[in-house]
Amino acid sequence: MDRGNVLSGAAFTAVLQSAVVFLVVLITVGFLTNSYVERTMTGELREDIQARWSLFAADYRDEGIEPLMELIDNAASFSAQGQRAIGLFDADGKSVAGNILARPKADGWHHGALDLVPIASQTPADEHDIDYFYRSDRVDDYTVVVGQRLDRMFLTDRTVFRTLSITGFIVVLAMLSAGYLLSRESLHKLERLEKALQRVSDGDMSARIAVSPHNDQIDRIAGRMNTHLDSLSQLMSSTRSTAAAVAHDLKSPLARAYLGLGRALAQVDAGNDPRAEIEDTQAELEQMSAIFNTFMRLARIESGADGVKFAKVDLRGLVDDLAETYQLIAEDQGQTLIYDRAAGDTMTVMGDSAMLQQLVVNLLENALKHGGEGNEIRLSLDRGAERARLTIADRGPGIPEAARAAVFEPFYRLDPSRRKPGSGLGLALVSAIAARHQADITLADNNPGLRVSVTFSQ
Amino acid sequence: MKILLAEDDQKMADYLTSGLVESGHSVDHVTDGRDALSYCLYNDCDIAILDRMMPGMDGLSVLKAMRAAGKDLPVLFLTAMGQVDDRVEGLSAGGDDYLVKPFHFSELLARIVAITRRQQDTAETTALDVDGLHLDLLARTATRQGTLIELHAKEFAMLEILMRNAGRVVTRTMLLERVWNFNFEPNTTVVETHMSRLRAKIDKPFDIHLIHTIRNTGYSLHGPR
Repeated sequence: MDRGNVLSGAAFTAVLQSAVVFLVVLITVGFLTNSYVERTMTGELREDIQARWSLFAADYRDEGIEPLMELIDNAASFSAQGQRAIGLFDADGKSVAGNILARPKADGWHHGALDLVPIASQTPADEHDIDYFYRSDRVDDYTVVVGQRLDRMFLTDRTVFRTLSITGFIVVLAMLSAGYLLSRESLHKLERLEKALQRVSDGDMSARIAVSPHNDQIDRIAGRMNTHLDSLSQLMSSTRSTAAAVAHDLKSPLARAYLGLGRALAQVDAGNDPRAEIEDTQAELEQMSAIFNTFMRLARIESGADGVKFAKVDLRGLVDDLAETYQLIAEDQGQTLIYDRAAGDTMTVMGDSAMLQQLVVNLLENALKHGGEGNEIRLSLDRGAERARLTIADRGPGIPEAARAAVFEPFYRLDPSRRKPGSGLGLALVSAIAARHQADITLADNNPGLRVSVTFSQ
Repeated sequence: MKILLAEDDQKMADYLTSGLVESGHSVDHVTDGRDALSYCLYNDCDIAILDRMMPGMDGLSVLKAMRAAGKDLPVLFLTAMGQVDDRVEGLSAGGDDYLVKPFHFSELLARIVAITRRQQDTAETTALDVDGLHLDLLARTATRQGTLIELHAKEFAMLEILMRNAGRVVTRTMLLERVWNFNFEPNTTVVETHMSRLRAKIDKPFDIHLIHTIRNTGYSLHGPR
């Protein structure tokens, strides 16, 4: 796996961004905490120093300089490791008591180095680096200096800083590794997705994307893609079988035309009239052309690429006209067509009249073809629940219930030997036209025969 | 008649040209849409047969440009099969007729004749007469030798088309298009059935038959020749 791809993954980027935010917050909080602690500690120290200074000043006022000197020396000698700095200087700035060697240059509160009596355990270099917080003020001609070493405060400061740094480092490290892992996982998923799509585009329509039970965003997209691939492969297989059926249905007339032309040539060679053979061939080619036409019409209607704009169609007028025409044809074939429609206003639907004409004609011709001699066809147009309904019922053999869905498939024939003429496209076309008009088709038993109902949506 | 044929399929064009020449027409053939347009603009001819799909300029654009230039020359479109709506598009753009490949040559010939005749047929006709058969287009009645003949609407429409084209061939497809308004081929013998009924009414009771079947093509109405 390319590490660059993991690091550019959404999860890692998000973690990186939050780590930066976290660090900014941490530094700000650290800084604020530090200054707060420092301020609090400085305040306490100040009070402490002030109290001690006042004590020495009061001692001096009550008892005079000698006892004060004693007190200061005493106090200074107790100060371990030079924690406390105490000094008493006379008017000339000479140290008279305590552990401070030189009088600070200015009076008041100060932060800084103090020149202390060296302590055995400490090197002078160390002492110089040590800061004191001290008060130096005059009492009469004397100067009393009271200070406190600041290293405790430094220690606290450093502890806070260290704790925060270590915490920050660990948290950021944890975040980045979590981000890396998450990013790697989603990259894994994306790679699986990519691989599956690659297989599909390489022609393996059975390839599907693995969906994890977490149902995250990628999983949901993968699920969607799988559904899409399902319908796509179904469509492809139906297109393939349709193409195979087209080829099959066109091969027979093609083969006959081929033979017909051969026979015609033979007739010419024998000095006979080839007219009959040529006409046969022509008829075969016409049949092929009719299948092609119907098939392309079907494809265009199904794909909606026929450019037809729907308008109001007078369904009653259309059916009246066709009923009149086909009544004569039925009569000619020894069948009867009974047309019955409810009296009343016209029945209009939104649609394309040429398509609707074809729908009615195909259904009527099916009824005529399968009905046979003595067949009685009932054609009716009525309105149920505000929806126009066209019903065509015949007395033919009907369609077994199991085959009722399949008859709408292109090139499906109930009679596998295909003895009756036809392209097997008639009902497919009816179904496509009905779908374009949002009309429902139902096939039912007419006991005996078939009853087809087309219910329009308006 | 002088015919412009714009068709880029050389073999198809050869067949059509020789067929049309044999039928007594003169043909100029171009293979490019732009050539077809300039021919129509600068030459006189009686009818243009345009293929819908041509290099340079498609047939529909040629027609539109021609009509925009004020040429009202009759135009017949040829198209690859299956383009149902192209038919409507072509006719509404000012084409006069439409023929889907493959077609019978006799179908093309019949349509060429019908279109060019239609152009001349400008006066409002109210009645048609062929050899004692009289069709009153206003009263919608037919009489032959003084006998009133009852006709259904479809029969009347068929007869009107045959009589308007008296002496010329009217194909089955032309009848389907004009009488039934079908732009598809029904499997049943719609035209044949109605034609035999019409014949039974206007021909059978009389000695002379007017409706003649043209084998593999259609029908023609005319008196004895």
